[in-house]
Amino acid sequence: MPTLTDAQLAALALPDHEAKLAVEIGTTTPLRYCTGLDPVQVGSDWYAPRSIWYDALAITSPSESQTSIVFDDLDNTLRVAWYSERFSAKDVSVYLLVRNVGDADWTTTLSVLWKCRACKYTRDGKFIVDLYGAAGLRPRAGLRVGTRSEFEYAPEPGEAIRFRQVGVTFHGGNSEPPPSGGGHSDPWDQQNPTIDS
Amino acid sequence: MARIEHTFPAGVLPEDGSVFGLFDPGQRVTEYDTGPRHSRSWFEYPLRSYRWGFVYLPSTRAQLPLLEAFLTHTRLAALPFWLREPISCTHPQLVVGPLGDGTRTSFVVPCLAAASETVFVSGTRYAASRYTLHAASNLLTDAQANAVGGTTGMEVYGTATLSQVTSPCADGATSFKVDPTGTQANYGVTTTAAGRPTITASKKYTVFGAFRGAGDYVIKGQFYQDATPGADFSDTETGSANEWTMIYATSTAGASDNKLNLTAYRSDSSSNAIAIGCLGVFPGDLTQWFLPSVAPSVIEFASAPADRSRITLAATGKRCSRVRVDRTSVSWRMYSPGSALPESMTMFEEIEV
Repeated sequence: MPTLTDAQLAALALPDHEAKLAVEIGTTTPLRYCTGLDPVQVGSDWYAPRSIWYDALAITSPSESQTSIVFDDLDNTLRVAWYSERFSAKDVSVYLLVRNVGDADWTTTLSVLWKCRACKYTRDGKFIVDLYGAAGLRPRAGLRVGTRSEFEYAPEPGEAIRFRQVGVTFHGGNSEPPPSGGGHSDPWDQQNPTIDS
Repeated sequence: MARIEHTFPAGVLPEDGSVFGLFDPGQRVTEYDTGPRHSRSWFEYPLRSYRWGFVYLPSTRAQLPLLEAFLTHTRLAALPFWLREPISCTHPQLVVGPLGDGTRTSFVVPCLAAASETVFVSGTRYAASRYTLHAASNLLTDAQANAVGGTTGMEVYGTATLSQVTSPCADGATSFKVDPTGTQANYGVTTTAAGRPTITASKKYTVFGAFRGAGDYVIKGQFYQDATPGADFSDTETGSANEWTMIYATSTAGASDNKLNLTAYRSDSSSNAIAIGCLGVFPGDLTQWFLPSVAPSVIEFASAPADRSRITLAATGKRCSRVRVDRTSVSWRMYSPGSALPESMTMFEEIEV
């Protein structure tokens, strides 16, 4: 499960609150937009208000998960950026912010990192970003913080260890050893060579 | 961004029973079989909604062509427009658009002749010393601004004839036509001496105009101290035969200036008639044109609100909301000979970001 601070938990537990979704598309010059009418700051970055639709955003992280975020793009800002730079495989960060009704400040409660699979543009000005591989930046077994795509075999706390996305099953005849518990990759693990042991 | 703002014709009045409301388009309330209800809102502000029916319009009145012209200019749901409420009251939260950008100082207040105001910038209350609330965003009269009902208050500039025409129009159903005598340069319209709007010394003002016709066009303002001319300021742009070109210029009045003269003209030599419309003298650095009789108030800050700041205020006056209609066709019906009734319209407030 995501690791949340007391302030984040308190914000999420409010029975009546205002919510805001902020999305960053990790292009060379990141595109940052949020729902609602007013801009919002996440970290040091500002997100500009824009009409955004989205369906369910998974906060657990099976690598198969996918979703779409739809932006209003009648001003062609996103489409022009898309023409000049491919969005596919770019990181897309999604933040959920909440605040008590009447408060001034937003609390970032969840951040989920996705990858962009593809983009589409409709004739009525919608810019659709298809996403896959949700993974929160949250502690994983082995005390590492990272995404599902970075730590493909590392379970989140409370999540079963999985191997090649089929749990811990180790197929007979496979010469590769199973990964070490806790998500570390050993030097012989050729599936994940970029992570040091 | 320079823009001509269209306002729903003031003469087409809502009938008794028209609906005024507030809505929160992002509001979600859980409705399960058990447990408490929770709410989640995805908008920061409740916004205005309207469902208006309209009073009968005798066909001889000017409102029907005005209504049709308005619907044409706004392309129905394609463009937002401004709707003036008929009743004055105190509004606890008027949301001003667009967001501050760190350089712009003047913003349209969604209220006519706003008064008794309390101003907030990003939630922080501003002292009255930090802003000026102007009653209206266009200091001309309707006749001066767009030849509505005639050209009173304007006169020809240069050697030409001045008339009111019904096409082409940048807003409403009229505009100025200036026809040069033979081939001329520097022909257009200017305010009469008596028609110069009164201004406040040492304050910033913007002159604005829209031009139709190929050629070079000038919008020029000149400050006056009573009848004595002072500094002038202008901007020049090349116009187009098939679209309206908006030109504006901004300057600060001198310490003793109390009048402003506006001149809009074509500067290059031609024998072609030109159309001029949507003239304006705006407080501050505003570049949004409104018909003067329905021009909402303007708030001018002493220093520009910070980038991304949202301005809200409580004020008393007739609310003037920036809205869109919810459908792409509007119709009206003929009843007994001579009367028509526009069908009802549903409209939703839209805040500029």
